[in-house]
Amino acid sequence: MLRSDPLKITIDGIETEVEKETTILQLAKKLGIEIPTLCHHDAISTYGACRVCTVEVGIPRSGGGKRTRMVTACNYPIRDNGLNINTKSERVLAVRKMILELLLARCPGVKRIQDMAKEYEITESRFPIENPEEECILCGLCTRVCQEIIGKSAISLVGRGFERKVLTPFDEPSEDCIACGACAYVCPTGAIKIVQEDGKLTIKNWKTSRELAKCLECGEYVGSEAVLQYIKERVSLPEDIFKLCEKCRRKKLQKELITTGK
Amino acid sequence: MLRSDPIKVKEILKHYKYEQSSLIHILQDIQVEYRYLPKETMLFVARELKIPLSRIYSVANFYNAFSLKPKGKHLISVCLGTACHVRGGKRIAEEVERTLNVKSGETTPDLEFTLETVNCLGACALGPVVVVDGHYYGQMTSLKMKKLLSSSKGGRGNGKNEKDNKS
Amino acid sequence: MKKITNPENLEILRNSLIKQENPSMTCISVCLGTGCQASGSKDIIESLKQEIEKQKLSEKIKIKSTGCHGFCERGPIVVIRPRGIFYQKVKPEDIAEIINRTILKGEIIDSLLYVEPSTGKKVIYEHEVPFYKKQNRIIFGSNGSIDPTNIEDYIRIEGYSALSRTILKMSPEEIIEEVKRSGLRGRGGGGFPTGVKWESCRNAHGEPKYILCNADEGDPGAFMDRSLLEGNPHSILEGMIIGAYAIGSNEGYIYVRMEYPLAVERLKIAIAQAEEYGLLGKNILGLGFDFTIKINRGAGAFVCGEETALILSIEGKRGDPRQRPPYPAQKGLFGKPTNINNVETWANVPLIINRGAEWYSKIGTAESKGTKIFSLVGKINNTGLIEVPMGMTLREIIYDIGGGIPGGKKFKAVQTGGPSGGCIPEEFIDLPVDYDELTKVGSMMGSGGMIVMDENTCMVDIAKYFLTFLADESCGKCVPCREGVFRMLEIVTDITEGKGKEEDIPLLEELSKTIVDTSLCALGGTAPNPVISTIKYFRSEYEAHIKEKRCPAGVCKALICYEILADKCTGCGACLKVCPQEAISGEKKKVHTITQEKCIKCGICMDTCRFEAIEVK
Repeated sequence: MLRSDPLKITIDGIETEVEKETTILQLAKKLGIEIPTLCHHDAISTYGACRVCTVEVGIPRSGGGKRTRMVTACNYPIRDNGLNINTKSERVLAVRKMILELLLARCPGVKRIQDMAKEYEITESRFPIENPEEECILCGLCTRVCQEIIGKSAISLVGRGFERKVLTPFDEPSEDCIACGACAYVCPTGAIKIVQEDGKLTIKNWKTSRELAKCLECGEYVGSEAVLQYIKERVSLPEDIFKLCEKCRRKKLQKELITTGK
Repeated sequence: MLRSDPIKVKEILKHYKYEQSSLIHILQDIQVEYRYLPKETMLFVARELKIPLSRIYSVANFYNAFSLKPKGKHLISVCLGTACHVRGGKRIAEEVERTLNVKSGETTPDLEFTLETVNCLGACALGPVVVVDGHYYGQMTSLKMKKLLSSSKGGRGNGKNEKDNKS
Repeated sequence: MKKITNPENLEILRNSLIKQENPSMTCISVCLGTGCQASGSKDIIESLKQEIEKQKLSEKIKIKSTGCHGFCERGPIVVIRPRGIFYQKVKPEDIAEIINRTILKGEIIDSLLYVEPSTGKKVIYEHEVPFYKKQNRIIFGSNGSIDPTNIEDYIRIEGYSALSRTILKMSPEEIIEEVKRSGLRGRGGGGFPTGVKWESCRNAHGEPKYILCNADEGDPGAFMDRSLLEGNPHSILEGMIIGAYAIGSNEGYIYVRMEYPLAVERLKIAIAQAEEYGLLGKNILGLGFDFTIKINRGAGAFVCGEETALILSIEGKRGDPRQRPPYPAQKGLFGKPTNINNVETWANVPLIINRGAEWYSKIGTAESKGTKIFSLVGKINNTGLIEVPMGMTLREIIYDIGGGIPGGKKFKAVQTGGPSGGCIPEEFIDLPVDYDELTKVGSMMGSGGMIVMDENTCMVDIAKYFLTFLADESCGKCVPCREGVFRMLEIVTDITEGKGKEEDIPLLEELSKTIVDTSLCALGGTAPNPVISTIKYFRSEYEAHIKEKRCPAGVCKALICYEILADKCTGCGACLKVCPQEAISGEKKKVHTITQEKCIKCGICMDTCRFEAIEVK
């Protein structure tokens, strides 16, 4: 793509220049302006579902003047010279408050949501709590990481509206899940529970368990066998690479170095 | 193993040239064939089209056309579009719920009837409208619905001989 | 039929079709639209065929099965041409009489005529029926005179002449310019200028380009697209082919909602015939342009009418809308530039080409050109489909065309724009109907549903109705729509059940603001409109529910009860027999009573009573 001249824009009163197609969130990060996010992760495609990163933009009209729009910072590409972004206007704060109040009613026990809400002076929700145990905000990070980064698509969004859920097919143990734990790693609310017991790694939400491989040397767990197998299939590595744990592998390497004297 | 006939599903897949983008068409045809989407057929389609099962499950759960449980022989769709609503469509649906003892979206235990409420059938001028097995009945009342159901139950099934849709 | 290989041969065919048609020959048109079919018009055709056969009249009388005439309320509709005699609510038993008296003797059968409700006057001819008189049926009018399953009927009435003219004589840029000058705006709801949309797709980088027809007519209470698809499918195909040529596309899709099986069937026939005649497919009319059209059946999801969701659905995926930009014109179907227009928009295109942008732009208002088809339904005498020039007032539509409110009831509001629209109260009855005026009063054009409500319609119940609809159809992707609409529904449900609180109205307004401001797609972005507009214009009804625990319209079950009026009850026992709860008691020929504790308020007793002795309180 041809590089075009940088665009002159204003964000929270600061005039700045920015490369075309930069998202508002990227620009804000660069300038140290904080915009809250929940469904965004730099390594994963943007989604725009949680809407807490909503900001107000004034877009210049061809005939002069500006039209104001509320947009999500995570996926709004800057394309117009003279764009005026306000990340903390009254309107922005009002909608963020309401969104957090809605999320707090959905997931009353989630610390991250409680903390975020508190920052916006919301400590209690006016809406009745449907399920006090609910921890998932349906941000879709788990399904996206599983599909885009891991390449497994073991889980997906199922149902619609208020009944929307993340599930494995038929809500049964998944054949595709390798228990890599990436979903739990990216989950912003800690809704995905992984336990390690009896030589197995179990992702409770997906009802899926995978055997753990043990280090031949010290007996420590190296990781889910399925993950190790999957990595070997995709990357060319020595056949025995996962037979030892990281510590023992390092020790072995050191030993080899010393004995060969290189 | 497929309890449902794999040859039929294969024919459907072949008809759509095994195109991934035809997934919805394929599921629609399977739904027509079996009156629901048997689990084995979804596993089979996933394998044959090389689509993750999770995506097929997700699509099957998104669209109203698909059912994961067998539907009844006779489908009763009660329209709850705005025009039908202001003329009392909801009362018609309640009448069916009472008579068949099912809720909207459910099927009678004998697999005879499935009740659906639909968000607009596009026959608004005749509201309230009920469609039984593709046959439209306009200007319904609870009373007419009662009669229609008893005639359908009485073995004529599609109720085609019922002509009280003109008032 | 051999392929038509050049534009001259199309004209030769047209001329011969016109010559073949004997204008004095009796032609009986029977409406086979979904409405009339529901009222039994297929049986009418059968009886007609038998009777004509029996009397050996097939040389003298032609039967034509047509698409929807619009006046569905009065179906089955039969029009006898060339005289234009209009018979309504025809039954198979009437057929012999129609043949013997009207066709053979030229007599009019009084009992089949339409009676004007206000004057009691009988109307003989179609064009004199007040329902049709004030309409301007430039798009919809051919529905009543052509057989949608016969392409030659369409060709005879100028069909595909716009197509041949554009490819032969106009450059793509000239076509786009013509559409721009006509002022045509999208008929699907948003009202975006069609020519501008085409231009941006034409100018977008990327090959191939796709043309889509949005026939996922999901707005409850709207069925004009259905009638066009079923009654005049070739007008839509012709519009699409012209659009494809202008935009530079060789592949098109029509996405039809699953509730319209007849539309799919008619489209399939139309596409096959157009291909057979060389008007679709490779080397159209021998002019070197290729275009194919495929049909996609929807699978039952209202949100798939939203363009990004529709695209995903064609790709075989879930219809969760995605953020725009990028717009489909840049990145649409399979990531390629894509132009989407609605059914009625496409059907306008051939007309604009044939009559010219100048002629077209004279119809309508300053910013809304042409006509609009509305489905006039609900609490109105003449329900059906109407086509009127933009700018006609609600009063003219509801009273002159619609014939007013049945049963002497009082008009309360008209709902337009589907779940994205609002309820317009009586104070705006003289509002000229166009895109901008409707938006100004808090509603919108939408796809053209007009649902009339009377004094017996509860506006809080209407708000609840739309919220239920939207909560059911929300894909659930973004928080404000998924959680917010659900919460609004909770609150409004409470209000209708007498559990409303004073702070509910401000909370609904607060929620509305956030949902409008932050929803990902238009479904959520407009979802609060039915609530906002009913609070704005019918606040007192909300307050009656909240403060007095009373439903003034007598609709909300928790707040009403059924009572038997002692002075009207004859003790006939009919209600007692039908009550599913055995809540009615009374001796024969004595006044009956309802045991309120047992009553579930199903209303069957009221439907049954022939003496108007049961009342809602």
